[in-house]
Amino acid sequence: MLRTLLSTTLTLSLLAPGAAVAQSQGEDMLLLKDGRIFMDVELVSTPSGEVTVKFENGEVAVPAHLIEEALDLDAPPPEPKNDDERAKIAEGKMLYQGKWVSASKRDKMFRDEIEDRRKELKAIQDSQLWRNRSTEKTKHFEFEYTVPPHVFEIYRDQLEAYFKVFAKDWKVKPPKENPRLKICMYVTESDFLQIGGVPKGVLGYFRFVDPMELNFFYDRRDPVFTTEVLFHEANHYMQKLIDLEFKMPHFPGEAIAEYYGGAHWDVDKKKLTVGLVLPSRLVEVKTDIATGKYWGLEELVSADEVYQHYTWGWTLAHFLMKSKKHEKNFKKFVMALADDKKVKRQSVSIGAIPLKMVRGQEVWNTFRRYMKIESDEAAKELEKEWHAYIDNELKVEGIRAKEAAGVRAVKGYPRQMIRGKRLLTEAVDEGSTSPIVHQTLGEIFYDDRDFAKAAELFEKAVSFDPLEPGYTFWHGMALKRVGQAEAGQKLIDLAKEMGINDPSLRFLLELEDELDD
Amino acid sequence: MSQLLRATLALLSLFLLAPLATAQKFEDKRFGYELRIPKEWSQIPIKANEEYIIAKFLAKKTYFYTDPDLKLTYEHKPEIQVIAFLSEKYKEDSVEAEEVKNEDGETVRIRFNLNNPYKDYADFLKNTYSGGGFYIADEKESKVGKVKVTEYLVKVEKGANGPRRIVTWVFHTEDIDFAVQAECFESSWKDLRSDLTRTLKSFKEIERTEGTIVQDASTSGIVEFDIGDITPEERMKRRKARERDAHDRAQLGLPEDWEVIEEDHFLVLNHADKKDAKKLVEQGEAVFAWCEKTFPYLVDDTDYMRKPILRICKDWDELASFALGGRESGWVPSIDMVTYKDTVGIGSWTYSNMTQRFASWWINEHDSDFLNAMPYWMRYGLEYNMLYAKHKGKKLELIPSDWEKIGLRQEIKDGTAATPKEIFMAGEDFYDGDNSRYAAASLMRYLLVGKGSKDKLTKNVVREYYINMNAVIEEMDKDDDDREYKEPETEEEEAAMIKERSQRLRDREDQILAAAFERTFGEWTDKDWALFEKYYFKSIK
Repeated sequence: MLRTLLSTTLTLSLLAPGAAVAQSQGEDMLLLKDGRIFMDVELVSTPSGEVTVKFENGEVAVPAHLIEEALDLDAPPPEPKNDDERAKIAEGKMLYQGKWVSASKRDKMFRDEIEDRRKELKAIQDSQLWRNRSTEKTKHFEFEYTVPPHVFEIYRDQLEAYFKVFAKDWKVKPPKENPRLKICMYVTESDFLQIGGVPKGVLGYFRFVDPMELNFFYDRRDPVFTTEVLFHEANHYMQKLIDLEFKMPHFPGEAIAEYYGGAHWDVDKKKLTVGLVLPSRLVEVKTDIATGKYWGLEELVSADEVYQHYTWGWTLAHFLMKSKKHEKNFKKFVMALADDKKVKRQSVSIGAIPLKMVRGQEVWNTFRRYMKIESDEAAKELEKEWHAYIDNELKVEGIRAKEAAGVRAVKGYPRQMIRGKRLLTEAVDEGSTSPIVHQTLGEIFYDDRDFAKAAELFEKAVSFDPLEPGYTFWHGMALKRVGQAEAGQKLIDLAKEMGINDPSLRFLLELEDELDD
Repeated sequence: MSQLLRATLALLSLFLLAPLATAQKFEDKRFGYELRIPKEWSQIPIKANEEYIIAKFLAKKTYFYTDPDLKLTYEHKPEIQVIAFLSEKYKEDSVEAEEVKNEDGETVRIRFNLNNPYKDYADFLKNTYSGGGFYIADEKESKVGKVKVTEYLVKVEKGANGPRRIVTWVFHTEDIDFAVQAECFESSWKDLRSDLTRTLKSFKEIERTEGTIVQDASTSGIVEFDIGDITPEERMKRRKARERDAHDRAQLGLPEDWEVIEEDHFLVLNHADKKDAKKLVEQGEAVFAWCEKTFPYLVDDTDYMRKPILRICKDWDELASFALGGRESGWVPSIDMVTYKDTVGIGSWTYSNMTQRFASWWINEHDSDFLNAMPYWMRYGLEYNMLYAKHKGKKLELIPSDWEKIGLRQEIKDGTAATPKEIFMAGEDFYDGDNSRYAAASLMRYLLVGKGSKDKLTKNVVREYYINMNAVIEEMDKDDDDREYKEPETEEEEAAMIKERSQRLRDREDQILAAAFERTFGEWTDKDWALFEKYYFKSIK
């Protein structure tokens, strides 16, 4: 169990003033806010809270805001604040946990505390194996997780808040006989794929038959996206609560899940805002439009299962949910799919579990009825209204939106490098602190052979996440290209040392020679 | 010691030894180890291009598990695998990359050797296991004799057809890590525990007296890239070498109770009855003979058709165990045609599937472009005809299915049947419709073996269409290559380029169909089409 001290950077010293006790290398520990744990490293702390990690191939300065906890056994003691404190120190006393005690007593207490803390951090590290996973029950969920507790707490709190918002909006309650959904949260994507038993590309899943279960992973490089995935999958559970024996059709199921996936959780205020623009989805829709394809209303709603339910479906849900004119009818339509006697449902079963479902054509019929679309012309009119909403109202605005849309434009298909470069540049100019954004933009400049600009961006990426070996690797590659071969190679060696167990770095290193050519 | 005590101890030792006495000793003199396999378990052959698994064994008894929520019952036969991880010393002896040159000294091929990409057993499992989501529930070090052992307990839970347990002991010998892996339902572990533990404990190193490990294992992962034109002689030489290599590998370590039969067109590895093998060879030869007669224009004297390996498992479980797990190197997987003893015979899924595979093999060996570039009507037409074809002796007969007859006859009656012209011009969407694939099958049959194959007007349609279509594709590809692309400089230009490319892709299919049609039927008159239609519809009625 972590102590409350965890929330602040804990820099402890074993040294009495002027009585240096040599520490062997590599006994320090570092826990980052994003959940990474570095055991048995050598740290050098500064009074400002910044910590330097010493590697054989160089030193890495880690800013205080990234650090959850640093245990530096050699850290200098706090400077005395006044004459009184100076006098106590001169008497050989030391301040420890608010009390002045003898140096030897303080030394023993400190050693005991360090030992306890080392055990706790080791336990946190061990709990990243699924066999040692942690568990916790909340009002609506039963969690199994392998992320560090301080990371888990953020997702636990926002999921509970999210449930409350949806339950209020749609008037649903968890089943009495099984009031908590099991949520499995994995520390890496690789663990999620292996233990969750799903192929590469799956980001999360909700098992919709008993025992119901939600599985997702923590992407430490993109916590906002992690939340989107969690909210999307959790929404399928909440839709299920409308009627446990009903399987919501792909539309509106996925569209609503995306709508609620676009939510923001304010960690400090513990406040949730739903229905935000999903920049990555919007980019996909705008790309379709650029290729000349506008999805039609009937085409989308009556389709049984198409990918566009995630993208165009999201825009439709967004349009209807944000419209005073349509929101009520849209919600009624969704509920009617499960409970209106006039809706033609089909019975299916998964094993012995019976389920009711509605085919695409009937979804369209019901949609028309509840949205009060009485003619084909009226359908066209609503379609026009929706398309205009996409063209005029859904925009990529703000840093986060530009970051997500820019990365999607560059890495999606078909690639839109010019658009992506513009969006990422704007995000950077507006003050983005995302290392991925700087890294991605740096790679574009690298490909354009503007190595100086690339090096500048990679260096920024490193400054935002200095212990991520991939960023350091790219920075080294770019430096080599601008005539700083020695410095560049040093960074590459440092990256190799940092990322000795990082599979993504292994892949990069295979490209090293190729990039050198 | 009293006589009674001696007798009691003797009896006790007999009891203790009884299970071992009935277990089977398995020796691998190439890799140098032995194991005692539980009685009535059978050895499963290893795929020709398998890189890691060196032995497999399957239990005779099937176990069942019923999911308490879904009430679905799953079945599984417990399995033991031996996986070898070679030490670095074997990699030093193997070739990393090798250039192959033609007579003029030009590099025509590069071979890369993919050496053991997995760090250890856990890494191997992570990258190859497909039975469901799993995690290592326990891991500890121990010893068997003088050999250090890492014991793994793996639990397979999420997404599995019944929770499973994998118990693996990795024996760290001087130069090879042998992972002996046993897998069963979690619920059947209590029944199997003593047998499987005994097997794991029975691992022993023995002298290596057969084969060499470098040649037979670590160099199996070869990928090849052709980077230049090669002469027909070189192609033939290469095909023969590949064939020999595949055949040798397939026979390497084949369990003793499998029979090897060398036929004119097949290498048969048989674990079913002799008559099953005979029937399958007869079926394959009938398909090959039909292809040769139907597509003479694809045959080139310099071609060499490799003999596929017909591997006939005794039942479905054996086939499933053979096919799953491990890591195959990526080249020519299809030469190893695996099937199992077909208890239904002509008309069964297995029978139809093999007919299709035989036909694909023959065509691919003679002209892989033909198989890849077929228009929809030809592809679906051939596929559906092979699905329902039957052989008698060495003759293959194309027979319309009952569904085809009923469906198309009704359409003709209703006046909605697709005409030959419509079928030739149809794009992919057409084949989502009812009976559309039957229509393609019917047309193809009419042109290949029906009245159309004798009629002066239509007898060469398939051949001409294919030649014309290839020519059109080549010309379009050349146009694409010659076209000068201007890199977009603004977002508007980028969006326009994406739109244009997307549209071009959509149009390309229609353009190919239209151009191939025009070249093949350009000189046909309305009267020609009317006659064609008349006889074609008549062939259906």
